[in-house]
Amino acid sequence: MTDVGITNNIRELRAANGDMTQQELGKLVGVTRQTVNAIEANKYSPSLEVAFKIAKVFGKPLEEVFQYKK
Amino acid sequence: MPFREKRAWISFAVIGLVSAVYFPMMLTAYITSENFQPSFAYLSELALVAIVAFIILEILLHVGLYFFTPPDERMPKDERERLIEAEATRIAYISFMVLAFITAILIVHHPGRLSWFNGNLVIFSIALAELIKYGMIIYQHRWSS
Repeated sequence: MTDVGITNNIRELRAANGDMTQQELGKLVGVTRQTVNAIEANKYSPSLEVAFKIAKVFGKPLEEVFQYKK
Repeated sequence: MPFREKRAWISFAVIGLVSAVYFPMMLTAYITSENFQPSFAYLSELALVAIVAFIILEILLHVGLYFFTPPDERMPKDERERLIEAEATRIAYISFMVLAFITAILIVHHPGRLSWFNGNLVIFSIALAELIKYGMIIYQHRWSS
């Protein structure tokens, strides 16, 4: 699990959603706080299911939460 | 520290500690015995003590960790943790295969002799594979997130 070509703006979205903590987001999508941290740091690429769940939590389309960069 | 990492540290430490005591004592018994034929009774007792110590330490420490960990930290493994464990197991399996192959060669070339040594070599390969597995899990949790 190293730096991947997928970036995200989950940290900003959490701040914009009542300063949601990583723990709270993790509970909502079914992953640990450490996994949320790894996703935000681009150290881990979540599965499609988790990515969709995260986007749904913030009420945003998937491509507004995750971006693929070559 | 995540719950899974704590569990990996416990298993890593217990296997490391028991191995660090058992294998040198076993090797010493071989080296200091006549014709490299140590007492079977002594080796059996040593192995039994090591196994019992391993089981008791694992149970006590894992149960203790479970009860001292808040319920919300004890959630089931998520996808990343499953991936970490799968990768660690794959690497540990490679090391186990290599040592098992070496043991097989020793058995073929020295049939009937060094049987106890070869048996312990298999146990050593299992212990080493487990150490590698838990070491990889710790590494992934600690330095890859």
